Amino acid sequence: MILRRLLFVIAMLAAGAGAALAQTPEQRGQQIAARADAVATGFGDLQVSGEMTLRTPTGATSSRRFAMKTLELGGGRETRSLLVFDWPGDIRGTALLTHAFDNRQDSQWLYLPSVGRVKKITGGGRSGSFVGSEFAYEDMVEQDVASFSHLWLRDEPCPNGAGRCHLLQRTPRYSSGYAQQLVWIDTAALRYQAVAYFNRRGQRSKTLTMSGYRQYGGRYWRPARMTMVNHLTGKSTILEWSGYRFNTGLRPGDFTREAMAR
Amino acid sequence: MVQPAMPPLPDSGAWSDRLARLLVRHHLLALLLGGLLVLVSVLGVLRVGYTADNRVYFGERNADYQAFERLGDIYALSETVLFAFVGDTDLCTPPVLEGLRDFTAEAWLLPDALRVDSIANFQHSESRGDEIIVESLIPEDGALSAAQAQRIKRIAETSDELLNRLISPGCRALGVSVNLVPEGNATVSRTEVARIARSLQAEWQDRLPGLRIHVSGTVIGDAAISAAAERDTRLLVPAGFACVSVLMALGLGTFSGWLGTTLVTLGGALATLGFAGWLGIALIPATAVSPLAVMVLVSASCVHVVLGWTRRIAEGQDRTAATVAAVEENLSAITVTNLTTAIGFLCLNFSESPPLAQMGTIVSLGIVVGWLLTVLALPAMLLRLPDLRFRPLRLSPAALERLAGFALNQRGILTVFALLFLVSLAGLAQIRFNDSPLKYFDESFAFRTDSDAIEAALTGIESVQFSLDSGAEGSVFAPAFLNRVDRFATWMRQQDDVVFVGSLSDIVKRLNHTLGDGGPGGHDIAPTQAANAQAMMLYELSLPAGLDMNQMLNIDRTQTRVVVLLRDVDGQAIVDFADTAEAWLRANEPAIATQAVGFGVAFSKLTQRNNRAMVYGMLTVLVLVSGLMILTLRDLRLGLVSLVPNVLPAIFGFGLWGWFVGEVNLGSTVVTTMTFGIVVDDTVHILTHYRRRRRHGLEREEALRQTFRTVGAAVMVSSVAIFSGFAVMTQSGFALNQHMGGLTALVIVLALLTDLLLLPAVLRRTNQ
Repeated sequence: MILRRLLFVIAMLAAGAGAALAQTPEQRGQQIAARADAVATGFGDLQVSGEMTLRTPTGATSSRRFAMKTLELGGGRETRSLLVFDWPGDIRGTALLTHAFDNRQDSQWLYLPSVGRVKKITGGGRSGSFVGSEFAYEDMVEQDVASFSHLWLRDEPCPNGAGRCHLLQRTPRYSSGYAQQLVWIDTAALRYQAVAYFNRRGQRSKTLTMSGYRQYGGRYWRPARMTMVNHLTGKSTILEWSGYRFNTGLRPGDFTREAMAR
Repeated sequence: MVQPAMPPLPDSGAWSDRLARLLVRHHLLALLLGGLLVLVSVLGVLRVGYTADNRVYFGERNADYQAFERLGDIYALSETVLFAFVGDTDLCTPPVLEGLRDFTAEAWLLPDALRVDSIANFQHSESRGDEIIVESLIPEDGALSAAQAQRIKRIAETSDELLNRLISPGCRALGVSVNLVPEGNATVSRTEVARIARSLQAEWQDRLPGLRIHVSGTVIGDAAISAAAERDTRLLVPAGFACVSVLMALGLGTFSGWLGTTLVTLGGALATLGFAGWLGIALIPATAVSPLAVMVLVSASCVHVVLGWTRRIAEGQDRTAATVAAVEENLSAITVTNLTTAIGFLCLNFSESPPLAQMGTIVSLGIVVGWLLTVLALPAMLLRLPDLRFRPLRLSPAALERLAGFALNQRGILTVFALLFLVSLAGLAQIRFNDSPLKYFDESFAFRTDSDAIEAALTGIESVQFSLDSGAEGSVFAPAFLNRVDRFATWMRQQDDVVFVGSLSDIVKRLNHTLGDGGPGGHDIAPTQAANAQAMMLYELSLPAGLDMNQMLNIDRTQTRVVVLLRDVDGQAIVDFADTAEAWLRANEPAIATQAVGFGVAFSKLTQRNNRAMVYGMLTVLVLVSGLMILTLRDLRLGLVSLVPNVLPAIFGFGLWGWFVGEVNLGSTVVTTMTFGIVVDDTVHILTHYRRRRRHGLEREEALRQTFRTVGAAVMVSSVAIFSGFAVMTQSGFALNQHMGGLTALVIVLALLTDLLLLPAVLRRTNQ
């Protein structure tokens, strides 16, 4: 947390010192990403509901609903989240617990109400299709700045029409389902407006677009809608967030294996 | 294009004589007109393209193909590339398995790859304490030990999801299957994908010399299609042209006549290609040989004119008079014969398969051009080019008269033909449909040999699929539904041609087994929908990018796709399997009864659909052409007699084909309609001359002798030319063309025999 605050201050100072200071594109990219991260985090805890609408190119649709709780720990070096499914009915009550760390691999557990047991998941879980949608788990949650190396490319109009954006290229430092991503962060409030995902052969496989940003608690901007389009299959998924609640008093005890069954 | 008015009739001498004189007087102008005609049509050649797409065989409204497309939409299925490592010994050794792992990773780099499957990235699930481990069966990096290789082999060989698809028993062969993105989302052409797949194959063949790498799949098959079309236009069409040209030179015995015929046929052939370009028809093997068909058919008309001309010059007439007479004498006959041939081809438009319809259209247009050129350009050639006579290779008039005499007086002929008829009817029963785009290619195509090798060593190439709907159960995870699916999969595994069945029930059983810690009773479908769904959720959350369940489940998880691979099956066997499976479902599991879907199924049924459609085409030709014959001959009885030599050759041809070859395909289904217009030609020539002589008061026998003397040579030379042209088509590496060429050539020869031997015998017994 302190580090992030510090970075934020440095960033502000740098901005204040004026653009005259020469920066490499790497430094600039890193700086923008760090500032975007700084304004998005530090919220303590958060509860929100999500509804996914899956859509095929021919127009068939299907939905998934879940509630999500997130808690920041250790000054932002650790994030815990619990996702509990509500729909489809046959996975109601199924809960996915994630412990995400800055500097080591995440841990994930799934609680299966049908057998009343918790299973630890080992595998490529964060990058694969999430419950059949076009989202991977890693696409839905806040991305840790340290997981990528950033490169500022240019400033240009945001692809979703949300004003002006910094365009960054980011390359995963650890294993990921993608080889590279392009991210558009608006210049006005440093919000992620769009992400383009590229696979190992350099082909754009998916595009994520945010919309309906609202500010909560006078500070935190969150999108109401995230639209993921898969360019390989023509399928898409719309993820709509509702009922954002910040600082609800969640504690680490709400994010344990025992808590999942509740 | 087809003249709306009645064609010119023989004996209406005055005007055909005037027209002939007019054509001869203004022969240079006519030549110019002919040249312009060729020029305009030939400009279209620039627009001719080849297509590398098997789907063109289906019409827009083909229900079987639509079902196949719908399945593709639901499960994001598209075309495939299938690689196979084939060895003579156990391939599950550390170096080969490491190679397979690296090859699998490289296969992801193929342009537009959506998903890659092999035993290397198979997501094996294992339970360790309360931990569920889902990971690639071959660890993603590091060297393998012999013990690891043995473990991998043991797991893969005993998996219903892998055995006989991606690994063979004993690990003699290993597969890497690549699914591509749907065509609409592709970034490069499929031909390019095929090229890169081949270079990947070649590169790895060098790296792994101890085994053989084969490549197949629909992408490779499509590439083979356009290669076959190009090969046929580049080699077969010129070869056919050379062959017909040499035969013409030998049969005609005159330089000017030969060159004239050659130029006219060349013009017709080029015009055919040109029309394909103008009409925007992309050539495939089946249409690529159209110019060859036009060439041989147009040459037949020229032969009649040229031989009439040489006969008159031999009788002492001067060139101009001989040309006028030759044109006048044949004008009506060649008009009728070209018209009937064009009608025959035009009626291919009844076909359910667009390429065959397109072939009918461009060939009939080409024939019309050829006919115009025969009339417009040939006279100028006969008048202006040096004659340069040489001794032709054909029956002398005297020999032809003897032949007529033999046919008239040999009583055994009718008996022989009656026997032939019976034998042919029995032969028709031997005919078996064999349509499979895979088997269309002969062994000169790597696609065919690779596919055969893969079928022999690893798996089946033909797939049949079922999209099973959970219906009232509302979810694919409902135990009642999963048990139905499981029973269906079990039944299919017991069928003869089936090598592999991919079913959701197997995956659910495996997951429940893993979740139950591998203990007894775990290897089963759980009794509640929630338990099955949650087991699947656990698995899905563990799958890496690109290896999701979306090719097996629809998005709201109410339908699942079962894939069946069939080994070494012909078209009939595919349809039989599809019918049996559908019937089994209806009888035993009516709740999930559905249609068997697949490219192979749709293709094999296309022949049957086409056959039914061509019956109407055939009837139309029969009525139109016979009507035209009756009008031309202005003699109902003679018109009816003409049915005998017109209809019988096709029955004889298919009957003998049934005995000696047995297999027919989509290409054969159009032969009857197509050849009808062709075989009619000889009958038209013989009967018009015969009738003209009878009108002049000659006795039957004498009239026939003179007819044979006059047109016998032309009938024989033209039939031999047509026969040879279609016989050249049998040298195609593509079964559609082989069969179409072979059957047509056979029918032409039988038609010649029928015209020369049976027709006189029938005429002799007809009261007039």
